[in-house]
Formats: sequence, structure tokens, C-alpha cells
Amino acid sequence: MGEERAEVLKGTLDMLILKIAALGPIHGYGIAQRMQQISRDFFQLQQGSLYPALHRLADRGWLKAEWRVTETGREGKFYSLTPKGRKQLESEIENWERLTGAVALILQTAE
Amino acid sequence: MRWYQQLFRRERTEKRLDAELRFHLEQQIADYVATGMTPEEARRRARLEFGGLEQMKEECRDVGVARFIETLIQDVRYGLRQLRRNPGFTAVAVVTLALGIGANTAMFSVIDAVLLRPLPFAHPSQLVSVQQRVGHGVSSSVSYPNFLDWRSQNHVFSSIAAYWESDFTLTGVGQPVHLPGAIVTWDTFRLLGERPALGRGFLPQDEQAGSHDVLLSHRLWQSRFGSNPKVVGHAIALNGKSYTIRGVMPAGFQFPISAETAELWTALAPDAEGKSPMTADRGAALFSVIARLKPGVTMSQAEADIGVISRRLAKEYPNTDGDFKGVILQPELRQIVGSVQLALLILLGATGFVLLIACANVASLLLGRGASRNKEMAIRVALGAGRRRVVRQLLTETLLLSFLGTGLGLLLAVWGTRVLLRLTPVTIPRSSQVGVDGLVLLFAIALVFVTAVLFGAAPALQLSKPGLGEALKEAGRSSSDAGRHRRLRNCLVIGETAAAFSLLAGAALLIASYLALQRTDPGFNPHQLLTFTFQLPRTRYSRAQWVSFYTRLLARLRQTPGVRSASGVVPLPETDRWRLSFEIEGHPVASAMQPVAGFVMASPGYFHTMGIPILQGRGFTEADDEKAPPVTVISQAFARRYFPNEDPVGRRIRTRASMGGAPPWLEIVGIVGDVKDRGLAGTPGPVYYVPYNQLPLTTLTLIVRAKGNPRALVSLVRSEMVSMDPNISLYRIETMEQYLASSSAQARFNTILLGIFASLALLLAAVGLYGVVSYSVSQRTHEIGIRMALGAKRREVLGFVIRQGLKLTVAGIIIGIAGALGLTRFLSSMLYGVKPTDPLTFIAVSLILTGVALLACYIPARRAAKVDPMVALRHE
Repeated sequence: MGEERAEVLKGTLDMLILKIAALGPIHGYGIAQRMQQISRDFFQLQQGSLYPALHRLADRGWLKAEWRVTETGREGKFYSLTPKGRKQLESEIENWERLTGAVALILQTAE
Repeated sequence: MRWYQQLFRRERTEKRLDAELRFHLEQQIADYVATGMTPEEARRRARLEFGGLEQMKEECRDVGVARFIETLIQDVRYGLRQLRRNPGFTAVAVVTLALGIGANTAMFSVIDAVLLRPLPFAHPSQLVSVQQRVGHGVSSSVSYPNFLDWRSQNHVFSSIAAYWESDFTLTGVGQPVHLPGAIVTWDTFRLLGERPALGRGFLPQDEQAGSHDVLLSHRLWQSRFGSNPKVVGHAIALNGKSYTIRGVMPAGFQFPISAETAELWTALAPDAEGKSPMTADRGAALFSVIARLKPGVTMSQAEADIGVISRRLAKEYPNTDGDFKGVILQPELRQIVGSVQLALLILLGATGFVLLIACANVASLLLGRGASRNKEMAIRVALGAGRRRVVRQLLTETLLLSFLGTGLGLLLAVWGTRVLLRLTPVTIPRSSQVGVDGLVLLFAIALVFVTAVLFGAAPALQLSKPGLGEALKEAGRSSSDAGRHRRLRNCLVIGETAAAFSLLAGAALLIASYLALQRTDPGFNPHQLLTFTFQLPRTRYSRAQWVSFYTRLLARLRQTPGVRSASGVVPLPETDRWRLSFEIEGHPVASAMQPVAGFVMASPGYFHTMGIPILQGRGFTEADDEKAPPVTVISQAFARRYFPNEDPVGRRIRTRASMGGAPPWLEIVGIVGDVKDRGLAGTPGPVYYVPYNQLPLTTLTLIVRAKGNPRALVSLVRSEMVSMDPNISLYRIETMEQYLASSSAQARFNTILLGIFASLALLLAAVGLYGVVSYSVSQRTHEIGIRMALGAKRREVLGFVIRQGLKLTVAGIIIGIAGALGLTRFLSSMLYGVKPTDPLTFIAVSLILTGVALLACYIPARRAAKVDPMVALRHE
């Protein structure tokens, strides 16, 4: 496990999961794969935290889970975004942008 | 899936969780194989990256309410099994907690009933008592004319009422009976928001001369009038006068809220009769005043408003009201219970200490047991339990202990309040209502959680410390964990000892001052004295007949077999003494500036019967009657204060009291020894005595000195009275010793309770020390074996173990002394004859504590000394 790779920032994991699930129903393994592809292997997802997070998000009603047959013919648990989850995702993205905007502003001013 | 579905379909949930995670792993393995890894390599790598499977499952399960309930049930079931498996531990812990919680709950139920419950009247928070500030002090009583001015001139009260407690003899309804009652202004009950259950209340004219109305208590109506609803309008005889029953108050109604429950109430009219009625005398300060604040008016606004009236009175009536300095308002509840508040709060504080000690004990027990559970915890963590999960499991166990302890404690409290009630002196108002009610239950439930945190938190955190993996490898004997536990337990024992010391010091101080009180010389000989009181019916005995009745009665009593001497007095010593101002001949002063002294009316032979020494001159004789020149006898303190360096005998003083007409000058004919004031504490104040026969009243307290047991005289005295007048009832029949005991009842109550709580604390602290020392002995058996094998003698082992315990005790005592020095200050108002920092008491308490500690250490030390080195060394 490379040390140059950052752990997923605490709190952003939920947002990333919701974002990925927003693209269409997907299973846990797919989410892990997608996360690594999108971020070009920069994020090292602690796999141990993925499933508890999925269960937590489902418990809060932001994700809907259903069992489906995958393209390889196996049964897998697929997660998709609920309307409530979409709202949550929007507000999290907004927050994230405000935060990163603020950080960028600070960095520019500091120069 | 809804949470309740999860709760009931656990198997399915488990299977699905399993399938989901396995799916992930298999996908990963398949991907790795696709990149060219061998299946074994792929499996290994996937597993490694995925991390602890069980831990992840556990975290997934932790989501949601269902899981919470499920865990709770599981933990409770497991906890109960644990408690059942260690019955000795469970019993000690539960009983210890129950003692602490029981003491607290019982004490709280007293505080609840006496201090906290609102007064049983409408809008009780608006009720205030109004007191007159006089000179440098406060007078709780007010005269009727001054009260009338308050009533008519104030702007702050929606109503204001005055009352005083008075006794009545009821005749003509069965046997004559003496009843406590109260005389009230007409709107008193209206102010309280109470209506008679039957009939009407008083009317404004009931304060004017001519009306004789009475209201009955529900209890009196039931017991004497057979609950007859037609009783309203009937006439009854009170103190020989005829009164008309105007109504019956509802059941449970009590006013004034004092020790003696009033059985009937009359209005002021009878006191407004005669040539110089009491109700017209601005100097006759007899009434307590209660008022209801108008909504929105604050206490200080009201105080200012009445203060203006009071200061105006001081200017207008300098003779009687000259030293008025305004008024003091207090919530009525404070006024009623203020005198016992401090003592009760101190006692609750003491039970709080007991509970802390109990908690420390149980915490120490848990730590000791925890050391042996290290391994179990390590296995749990290794199997995937998070730290929070382990703490939660442990806290559930402690909560279970707490619940069991509180349950048993509540039983103890129910029983304890009954014992408390029997110990409670009647001088504590509202104490008859003490019992376990909703608020007390709530208090107990709060204690469950408070105690669980107090005794459970430290051990739980300690046990669940990360790095428990070490414990698996160790045998659990000499680990660093054990050292940590030992240090914590040592601290707990030191704290317990310190707390016990503070309590013991407080109790010892109270005991010392109670003994000092008992030892004080009351100024007379209280043994073999019988006292009783009666009242002559005014209607059947003219004033001229009073003295001859008393003289005949005393003569008969003196001839009764078994009687050494007899006399009479009003009032008895140590009651709230009457105080009357006087002037000394040749020293004229304005009447508001006149000195005030205690005033006693005594029958012939009083000083002889009581055993009060006559220091100079003479006492009263039969010759001092209404025809003889008026005389007085003064106490030694009186002589010292007002006649320093001169001979008072032969001098004359004048008091305001008279038989009508100008008050006469009284010649001082004798000086007698001082008699102690109420409660026997403090130095006796100046007192002057006048012959009862020169200033007779219709009531008299008789004092009979017996040759043997005074109780044996009761029936003889009764029959003498019946043969003189069968319609007179005797009341307050008691020996002087009983009477004195009742006046120190509050002190005895405080002393006994604090003594009980301190003993409990001592016992618990001893158990705690015993537990720590014997645990340490069992842990160090191996070491002791080596020492003995190397030649240590049994006596040395004994000394070594005891020294260890004593070190803790001494540390506790030192901290305890510091604590007690800070805490016993609060007792100072209850102490008599000892200072709060009395060194002798502190030394005595230290010795007691050390002695008990020695005993607690000796038992495990002897066990240590009996260790067989061979057995100990083999023991692993």
C-alpha cells in the first residue's frame, strides 16, 4: 500500500459513494473499482470502511439496496440513489465546493 | 428492510451480509486471476486488502436501531449470566450499593416531604410570611392594630391574614378534652384558597366583639361529632365559653403547618371583648402574618411597601413601635422549614458520602474481577469486538448491578423511612408526610445511572484498553495491567478512608456536643418530677375563685402519699420564654428603650420543689397574695446585669403586666440560681419571677416532686383533680426528664442519623480495605512463597501485609483530616461545647479508623502468613 496515496478524507467517503451510485445501480465491488479508476489510483480506499458506510447510507435512506443478477450471472447486491440521497448528495457537493473554494482562496491570498 | 424486520429476520440478514462480502472477495480474486496471478496468490492478496472480515461484519451490523436493541438484549442476557456465575461478588456489590442507595433515598424522601413539596394551598409560591424588624433583630409576631394598618395601607398583597396558635378545652361533648387550635383573622382560609367542606367560613364581623364562631377540623368532626352533617349551627363549649359551629374544614386540611395539628379554629372576636381588649393593644405582639403577593409583585417591592408603613408606625407610636426598622418577607415555605433545612441538607450530604464510598467499593471489586477477565476481553477484541462494543458490554453489566442495588435499596428506603419517622422529632414540620413517592422514585432511578457511571466507568475503560493482545500472551499474574489496577484500587481505598473520616469526625462532634448538652446543669433538679397542665373554665370560676382553687389543689397534692412537694408555674422553664419589658425604680427610660427579661409566674414553694437554689432573700409563700404588697424574685443573671455592684434585694422594678389599673412597683425579695434556656444550649438570660397568686391566670402547669417514680403518681393526680372538678382535663402529663428529652429531640435526631451514616461509611471503608488487601495477598501468593522460602518469618509476612494496608489508611486519614477541617464548619451551628476543629475528636476518630483498618488487614494478613511456600511456588 503506497504511502503517497492518501486515505479518503474522512467525511468525503459518503459523498464519493453517493456520487458513484448516482450514475446507476452498482454493487460494492464496483464502487471500490470505480473509485480507484476515477481518482487514477490516487485514493486508497480502506476497503474495511466501504461496507459499513454502504450499510449506514442505506439505513439513512439515501441508498436503496436490491439483489440482482450481474453480467457474470451471479447474484450481487446493487445500490442505487434514492431521491432523498440525491438531495443529500447535492448539499454535500455544495458544501465541498464551498470548502475547497475557501481553501483555494486562502492559498492564493497567502502567496 | 425496516429495523423491526431486521430484528426478527436476523438469520436472513446475516446470510445476505455474508453473501455481499463474499461476492466482493470473489470478484476481486477473479480480477486478479485475470491479470495473471495464480488463484492462491490472488486469494491471498484479496484477503489481505479486504482486511478483517469479522470486524467489518460487526461494523455493518452496528447500523440501526434493531442492532441497538439486539445488542442490549444480548448484553443483558450475558451480564446476568456473569452475575449468576459469581454469586459472592454479585451479593457483595448489590448489598453495598443497596446500603448507599437506601440511605440516600430514605434521606431524600425526608427532604422531599419537608423541604421540597410545595405548601398544600392554592398558588403556594405567592404565599409569604411578613416579619417585623425590631432594633437589631427580627420579631416574628405582630400586634393586631399594627396588622390592621398593614392590611388597610399596603398596595402589594392581594390579601393578608394573621393568626396565632392557641389551645382550647372542649367540654360537653364526651369527656373534656384539650385540643390544639388557632385563632385566625376572618379571611385566613380564603387567602389560602380553602373552603369549609361543610357550612360557611368566617365573615368579616367575626373579628368584632360579640360573635363566637368556630370551625372544626375534619378529624375532630369525625371523632367527636360522629361526622354528623347537621352539626353546623350547634353550640359547643370552649374554655367554658359557648361557641357556634360554623363549618367543618375538608379532610387533610392543616393550618398552621406546624408540629401540632390544629383541630379547631376560632376568629378573633373573643379577644376583642372586655375593657382593654388584646386586639386594641399595639404592644401585644402575638400574631404571625401570612400574605399573598399580587401577581407580578416581587418580594423586594412588597418589602419596601410594608417597610414604609412600619417606619410610619414607629413615628406615630414611639411607646410601642419605636424601634421598628421595616419588615422582612420570606417565602412562607422557607419560614416554616428554614430552621431544619441546614440539618437535613447536611444529613443528605452525609448519605452522599456513604454512596460515594459504596461506589468506590464496587469499582474496586470490579477492577479486581476485571484483572481476571483480561483474557476474556482480549479474546473478544481478537474476535472482532471494537473498543466501544466492549465498554458497552461492561457498562451494561454495571447498569445491571446498579438496577439490582437500587431495587434492594428502595426496599431498604421504604423500611428506613419508617424507622426515620419514629426517630423524627415532632419539631420537624411536615415530617408526618414522609414516604416514598413519585419524585423519590425518580431520584432513585437517577441514582441507578449516576452510580453506574461512578463505579462502572473507570473499570470499563481500564479493561477495554487497547493493546489487550498482550494479555493473551501473559499468564495474567504480574502484568503491568495488574499494577495499574492496583494503583487505581489503592486510590479508591484512600478516597474511601478520607470520606469515612470526614463523616466520622462530623458524627463524633455531634455526639460530643450532645453529651455536653446532657451533662449541662439545667439549674434545677429534673429527676422525680411530674408535670401536667390544666385550664380552669372561666365561666364557672370567677377570678376571685382561681387562687383559692389553686391553693386547695396544691394542698391536696402535697398530702397525697408519695408526693414530696408540689407547686405550679407558667410557663415551664425551657419553653419559649415569655419576655416582658420593665423599668428599674430611679432609672426612668422611654418605654421603647426599656430592658426586656424573661418573665415567669410561680406558685408558693416553686423554687423548693424545682430545686432551684435561693441565693439571697426568700422565695414565694402563701402570704404573697393579691392583698399583700407586690413582690418579685430575680435570677442571678438578672442581678448581675441590672444591679452590678449593688444589693438588689429591697429595690423595686415595674413591669407592664398588671391586673388592670396602673402597674404596681414590685419589691425584689430574693435572688435565685439561673435556669437554662430552651435546648439547654447557651448561657441563661435574665429572668424575673412574680407570685402566681398575685397575677393569676386560668391556666397553670403543676410540678410534683415524687418520693419515688413520678409515673406512679399520674393516676393519683388524676383522681385528685376529678374529685375537685370532673370537667377539667389534664394535658401534657409527662415527667420532667421526658419533657427535657423532647426539647433536645432535634439534636438527638441529627446525632443518631449522622452516627448511623458514619458507621455505615466506616463499615464500607473497612470492607473496601479488606478487599484490596486480600486481593493483593492472593495475587502475591507466589512472591510471599519466595520470601518465606528465602527465610522470611511468618511474623514478618504478617507485618508486611498489615503495613501495606496501614499505609493506605494513613494516607486516607491525612486527606480526611484536611477534608473534615473544611466540612465540619457547616456543623458549627449545631455544636455545643466543642469547636468544629476539636483536636481530641480528630485524634479519637483517627484511632478508631486505624483500629478498624488493622482488623480489616489482619484477616488477609493471617492468610498470607499461613502460606505454605512449597504450595505457593508450585501454584501457577
